[in-house]
Amino acid sequence: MRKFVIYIFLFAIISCADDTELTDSIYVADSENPELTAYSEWGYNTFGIVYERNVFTYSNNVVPLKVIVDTNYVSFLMQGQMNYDYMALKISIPDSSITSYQDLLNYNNTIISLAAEDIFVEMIEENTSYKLNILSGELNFLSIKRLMVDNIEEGIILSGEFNLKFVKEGIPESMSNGRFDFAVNDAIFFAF
Amino acid sequence: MRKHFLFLLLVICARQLVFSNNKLFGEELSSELLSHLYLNVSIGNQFYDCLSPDYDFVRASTNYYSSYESKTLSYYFDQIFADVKIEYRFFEEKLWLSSGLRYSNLLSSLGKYAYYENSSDYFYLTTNNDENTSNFYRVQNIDYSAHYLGLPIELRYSPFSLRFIRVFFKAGTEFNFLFQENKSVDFKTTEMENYEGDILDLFDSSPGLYGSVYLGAGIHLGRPGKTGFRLEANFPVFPFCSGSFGLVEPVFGGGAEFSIVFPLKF
Repeated sequence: MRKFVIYIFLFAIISCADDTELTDSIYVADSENPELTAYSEWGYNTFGIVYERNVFTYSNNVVPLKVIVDTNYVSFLMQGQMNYDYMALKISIPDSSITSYQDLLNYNNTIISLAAEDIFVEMIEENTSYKLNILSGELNFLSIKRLMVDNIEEGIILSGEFNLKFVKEGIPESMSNGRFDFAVNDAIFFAF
Repeated sequence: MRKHFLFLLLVICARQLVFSNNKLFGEELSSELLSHLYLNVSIGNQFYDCLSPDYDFVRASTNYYSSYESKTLSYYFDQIFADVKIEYRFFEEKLWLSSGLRYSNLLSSLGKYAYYENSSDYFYLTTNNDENTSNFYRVQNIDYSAHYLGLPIELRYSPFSLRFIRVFFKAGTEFNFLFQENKSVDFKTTEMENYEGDILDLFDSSPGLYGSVYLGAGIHLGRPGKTGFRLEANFPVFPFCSGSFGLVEPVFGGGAEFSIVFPLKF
């Protein structure tokens, strides 16, 4: 009887299993720096960047990207961890044309200078937020494509590279060799 | 039923070929020679360990860093065969040389292994992409079934016998030629079956020539000159082929074979 209950319980778990592979993060190690994910254009929901001597990268515990549209700005909030502590980077770009995640296709093959005056970059470590004074940096959308699964649109794939130099709390720091690969759909797109 | 009938017909033809007026290819066979000849009818199966295929059009599927593959695909390569061989025993009946005709069915499959209860049983594969769109297809399995006709050559050495049990060791090789190949793709949704050709185009076909070299050992039950039964293990088996193996790449394998051995002289 006890075994029967266990089997029923296991069957219930299996039956309720949902396909989350397109929203999960898929880790493929970079061949030169295995702490970073390799650059990809598969919508693996990962990012990684060398921050000084550490690596700021995605975490399985938080949604790695949220796209937030608010008062003529579109913000890319990359959430992850560094040394197992929560960390996030929010890049806000002035753009009033974005009303849905499909509009992000317009950024395909676009390089955005993060040192521009009207672009804001914010770093969040644990509960503290820092506005960064950007010295130089780029956000390069190398490839943005529609993601079709069995001929049904499931979102878009947003892939690219980024790096920046900045002053934080009076100390110059750098982030380099960054890459990202996200599957973006309505679930992570927020318009206010 | 039809397969069984064809198999039986093949056995009868082989026996008739030798028995008809004691002539083989028009040449008189001596009674002495016949006493050293046997007809060997076998069936067998061989499993192969395979290399992980690293297809760049298959989406990775592990969400953690590990030294394991990032693509949790499952795959197998299996050979089922049946053959009819003529066996010649010499060197005081310690060496048995045999050859004949072998039919082989090579089955290979590529699919998704669900490690956890919430893992999916399909993988994502991409093709037909353009500058603005990535097309993913959810595939559960890709299966190949290749049919070969071939020539096995085997040498067995039986150093000793215990009453009607003989232990033997063997070395062999086979050369098989492809005559038919069937491929299929199991999609997650049946509506995608129109894309089967596009998916199959991504993979190599089965090789035109497939063969293997192998060692083995077994036991033969039956007295000399009488009908006997033979059970043998083939290990290791090293495959070779012309070009690509197709869906997956076998490295080495092992298997088992069962035979009925008829003397050609009663």
